[in-house]
Amino acid sequence: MNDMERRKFEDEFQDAFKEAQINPSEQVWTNIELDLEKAEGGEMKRRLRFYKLLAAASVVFAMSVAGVGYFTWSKIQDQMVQNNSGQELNDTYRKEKESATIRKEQNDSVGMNGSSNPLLKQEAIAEINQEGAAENIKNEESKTNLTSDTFNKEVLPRTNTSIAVHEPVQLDAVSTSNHTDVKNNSSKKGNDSFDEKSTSSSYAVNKTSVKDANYSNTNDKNVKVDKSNDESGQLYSSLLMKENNTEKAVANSIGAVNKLPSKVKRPTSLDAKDSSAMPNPFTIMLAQLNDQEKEMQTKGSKENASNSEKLWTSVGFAAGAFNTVNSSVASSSSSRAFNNVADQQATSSGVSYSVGVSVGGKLSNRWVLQGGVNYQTQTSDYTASAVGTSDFKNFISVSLNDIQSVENLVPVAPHSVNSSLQFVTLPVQAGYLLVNKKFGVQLNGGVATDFFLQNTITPESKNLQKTTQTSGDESPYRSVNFSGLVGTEFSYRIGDHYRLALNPGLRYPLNSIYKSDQPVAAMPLTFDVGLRFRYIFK
Amino acid sequence: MLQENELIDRCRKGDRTSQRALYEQYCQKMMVVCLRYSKSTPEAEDVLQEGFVKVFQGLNNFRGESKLATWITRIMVNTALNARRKKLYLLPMVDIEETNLPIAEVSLSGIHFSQLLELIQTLPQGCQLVFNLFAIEGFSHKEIAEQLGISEGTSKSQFARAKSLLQHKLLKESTYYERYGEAKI
Repeated sequence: MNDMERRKFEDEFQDAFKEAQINPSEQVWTNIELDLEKAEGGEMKRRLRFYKLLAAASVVFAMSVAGVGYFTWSKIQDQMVQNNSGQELNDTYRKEKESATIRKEQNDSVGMNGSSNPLLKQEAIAEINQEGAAENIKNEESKTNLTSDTFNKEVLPRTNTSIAVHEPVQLDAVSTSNHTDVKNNSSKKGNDSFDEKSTSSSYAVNKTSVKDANYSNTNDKNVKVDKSNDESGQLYSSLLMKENNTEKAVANSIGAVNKLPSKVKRPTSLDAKDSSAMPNPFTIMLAQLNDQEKEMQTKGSKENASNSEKLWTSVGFAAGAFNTVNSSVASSSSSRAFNNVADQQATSSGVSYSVGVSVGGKLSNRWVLQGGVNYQTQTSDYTASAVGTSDFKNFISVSLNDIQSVENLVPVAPHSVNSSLQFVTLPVQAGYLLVNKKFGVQLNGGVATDFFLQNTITPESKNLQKTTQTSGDESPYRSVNFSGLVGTEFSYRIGDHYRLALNPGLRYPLNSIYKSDQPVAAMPLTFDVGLRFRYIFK
Repeated sequence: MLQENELIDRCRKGDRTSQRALYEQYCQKMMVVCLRYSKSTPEAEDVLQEGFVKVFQGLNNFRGESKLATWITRIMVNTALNARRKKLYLLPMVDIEETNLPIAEVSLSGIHFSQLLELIQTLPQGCQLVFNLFAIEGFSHKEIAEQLGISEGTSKSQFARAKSLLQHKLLKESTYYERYGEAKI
């Protein structure tokens, strides 16, 4: 009975408060609102900090990739400059050779026609010498830095058109081995002097350049160089005029500064507006971020259910470029031709393609592991200047594949050769998910095992055969090599089971692609961008 | 008028208008709850404010297994207990025999809840908490002991003391009304 009475007491109290209501003050809701704003602002700050860090990391990564790319590009440019300078040397050598052959032909023709006429022979020789010497002087003048002093000292005495010799040149019959005074103005004058002298005395003419004749003639007091003096005077006067003009310009500007008008009044439209009337940009930004967060929350609940992505497979294709910045050719090689070919092939740059499949899985919320198999080719073009032959009937374009086995190496005109490396690579990479949403950002790093398949050398010339080198004991290439991989993956999820990804990345062999007993070492750095289509199992 | 589920969804997204609507719907009842556990109105409003902030922040964890009102009430009670928890070690161990007060039967009919509220607020702190948890919320003494970190015996004795005091005061007031002819409010 007492228990029932006790329960009745509690029940009456419960019933009394069942529908009880009391209004709180309005301040309560205001304080609740403030607390909620504070809490949301803290979350926003954390998000802002995260995105700032993400942006900074992306910028650092992009700058490092750009730096590596610029470094490799500058190396390529240096190599190209070296190749071009070598080409220029070849061109000048060819020109000199041609001019020498022309002179030879002319000499031969002179020898055939003028052998009985020593006078004609001398004139011909003098003309030939004048032409050749004039060309040499032109080349030298073009390369000389014409300051006023050098102009007076070096150029004036050597200018052949400006010297007028007034005294007839004495031909010495005895001392003719190294020094000859030859008239060097118009050929007609020369003919006259020769006519005067040739009948009475025998003489020998040495083939000397007009330069020597000029130097000998400058010792003559009667030599006038009026024309050259005029030219130098003109140069100096032009320089002085320029200086005067600049001085005048400076003086005029100073005068203009002194005459500047008084300070202009600041227009009222530039006065700062009352800041209290303008909205606080921080609150505007907070409001915008608040709206964005609301949108993300609505999507987040849907994504959470299907955001696992624990196992997937993908197929991909990548294209890029490679260059061999770290290559070397041992200087102990036997022939220069070998060095040239080895250097050309080892340092050549080109394009790289790969295609393959991969499988991946999630180890934790942020870490993934993926591996696969790819087929990769690296194609480059280089210039070869020698061919190999054993019987001098059949020729092959030499490469590092067979350079040491070729019996004879014949220098030829430079020609283009295409080298195509093919191998199978097994990459294994760990990835860290920076952003794990519909749009994903992932940093990857790992190692790949490269299995060399073959190298195909295809020369441009039709007369040369294509050669293929596979792996093996006789191959200069390593059968198995390891490469370091680093890259980024930007992906976008399509539906529940598919994801499309863009993968820029770097590949760098940890060892030379050639065997250690080879005199050549090369580690091509490859940068490529891949497109990967992923199917998510669960 | 929005359905409760739709209101909850909007509150989860952070819609301030929906949150205000939810607050307006439950604040009056929860104010009474907070007053039962507090000694004054400002103290009750502090508990109410803190409680509702927890409600809005924890709304994602509400799975709909119980009524929303029940869930909010539980949050308010826990908030009130957290505010008083540090002082609970001061609760003395009091046996029922020590009360020395008559256990009389008093009827609560005709007594407004605000009067009962005032009577509850006059109870000692420990008695107030235990009485609210046992008599109105419906917890057992074992559950109360676990929540407050006291023994079951202390919980029972505190409740007995609270009940005795309340009955005494109620009896006193009813006698006063009978004597002076004033109607019970």
